[in-house]
Amino acid sequence: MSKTKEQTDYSNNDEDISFITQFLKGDNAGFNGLVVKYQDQIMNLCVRVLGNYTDGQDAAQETFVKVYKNLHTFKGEALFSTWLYRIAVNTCRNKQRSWWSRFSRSAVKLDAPIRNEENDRIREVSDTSLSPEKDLKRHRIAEAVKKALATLPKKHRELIVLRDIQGRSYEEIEQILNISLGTVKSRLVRARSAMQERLRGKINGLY
Amino acid sequence: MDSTKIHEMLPDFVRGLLNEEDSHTVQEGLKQSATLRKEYEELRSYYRALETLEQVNASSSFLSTVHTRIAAPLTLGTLIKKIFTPLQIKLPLELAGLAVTVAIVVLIYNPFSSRKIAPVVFDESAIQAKRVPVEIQHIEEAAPEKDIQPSVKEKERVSEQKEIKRKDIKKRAAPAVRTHKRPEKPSQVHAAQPEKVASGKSVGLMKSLPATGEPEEKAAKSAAIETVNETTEEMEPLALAKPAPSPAPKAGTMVIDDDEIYATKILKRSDSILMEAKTPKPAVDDVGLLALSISAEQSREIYKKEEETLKVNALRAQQQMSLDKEKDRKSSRKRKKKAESEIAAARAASPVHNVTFAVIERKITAHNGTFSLMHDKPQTPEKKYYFIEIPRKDFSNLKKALESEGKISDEKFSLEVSEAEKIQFNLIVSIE
Repeated sequence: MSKTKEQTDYSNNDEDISFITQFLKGDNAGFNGLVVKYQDQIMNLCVRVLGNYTDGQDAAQETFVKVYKNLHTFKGEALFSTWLYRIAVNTCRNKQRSWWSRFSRSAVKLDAPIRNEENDRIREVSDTSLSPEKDLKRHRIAEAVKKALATLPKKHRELIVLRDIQGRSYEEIEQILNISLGTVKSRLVRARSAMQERLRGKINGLY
Repeated sequence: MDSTKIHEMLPDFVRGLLNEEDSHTVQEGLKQSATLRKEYEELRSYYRALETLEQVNASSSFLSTVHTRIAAPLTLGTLIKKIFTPLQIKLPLELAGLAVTVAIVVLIYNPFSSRKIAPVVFDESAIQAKRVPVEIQHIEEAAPEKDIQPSVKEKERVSEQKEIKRKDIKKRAAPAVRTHKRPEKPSQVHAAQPEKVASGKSVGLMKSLPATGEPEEKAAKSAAIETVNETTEEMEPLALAKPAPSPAPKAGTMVIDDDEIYATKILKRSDSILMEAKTPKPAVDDVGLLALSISAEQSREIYKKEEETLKVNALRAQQQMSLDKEKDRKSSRKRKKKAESEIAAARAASPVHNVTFAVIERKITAHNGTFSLMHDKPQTPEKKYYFIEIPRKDFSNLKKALESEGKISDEKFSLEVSEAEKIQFNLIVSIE
């Protein structure tokens, strides 16, 4: 693990602590700072884990609502980001368990245009491709990845998202998922293997 | 470094997360192992594929939506969501709660118990006994500290009041004018009486006699005071029921005693109460048994006496017939015929005891009674069982009449229980 990332994590945590202190003093700006800082990460996590933008957004918002209500219980024993991720993962798990969530889950494609709640603008995936051909390939690969991710077991999916997509450290994952480091590593190997197995033949030759 | 360690570090090497030393180690391993190189290529493809996933950004309204949700009141939907989500965890808890609630309800109300409520049986006599007459209620309304119970105590109290009234009426025969000042407490009257009587000042209810100074009058006055004080004491419970006590009149003045008026009213009311309290009288009551023993000698005497009477009657009838020959021949004939038949009947009555029984039966009918022989009993020439019904008021006279013929050997009566107009009893007449 690079020392640079750890240093970044702790500097981030110092910033988080200052936000928290501000919030606990009664200034909502502290909470707003935390939301703005982590909203994209939590949105990504929730959307990837739940495989649905709407549910992901709902879970992400619910996560921050929980944070708002329980921030006074945060003891600072772990990084704030870890605490936040843990809440987000648990919220996603609860959402996955709810029967009407599963029943009403619509197969919304992440790359499909979705209307924005605020101003009805169409959200589109950012276009970074250089050519239409490459763009098409990229879309196909992304679709294959999403399908593979969606078919993974829940435990493996969480690990892949946290480690391989979000880039969280093993120690963080250990705390977020509340499992041992060895379990994290071994389970991650199996999860990667399963992903590669699902993607084999679909991504070969695209690069 | 072994290949396992390099294998573990390979993903981080692909992503460029390793430090220089670890990166160098992995590079060395890749140069030596074709398997590692293949794995490296697969991982590279894998991570490149993951990089194709676009970053999902939160909407610009994300923060405001969060604040809206924080400030949102608890709606039914959110409440249901809160209660039932996640179903996997909360449903068993809710079912457990429901089971506990049902268990508590069953424990408290016990709906499956075989115990049944006993049917309510209305005892008419008990209801009548408990019925509160309107008069009593009126009295008790004025005395709220008293318990309204038209019970035996109430009747006793009313009886006492009647007795008081009778005493009072007797006393009124004396030329006395009563003044009245009610004592505050009955106990005070008790304590104060001797001194008050001795000093001639009674605080209680007293008769104010003319102050003549004569010894007889003084004695009468003392006696009157004593009697009236007793009366007052007894009437105290009722006196409490009076709406407003009258002011104490001056001694020696003529005062209409409102206590007496009040007592009279109470007596009238009590009469009605007692009348109501009485249970309906039965028409006839079977009250018991009377056994009359007549000796054989007595029986013969009865026979002789009867025969003489019959003869005298026959003779009289004959004389009368001769006197009324012209006037009322028909009636004379009837009398004669009757006398002859009676003599014939008396002569036909054999043995002698039959006359005795006939005399007894005549006495029964003479006292407005009716009789019949009890067929379920062995009727012999010496012993007969009668079933007699007679007006209650004539019973004592009949009894006396029977006693004149013989001796009442056994008597089992419960007359005091019965309040019927007519009574029934068994009469056993035996000639010994």
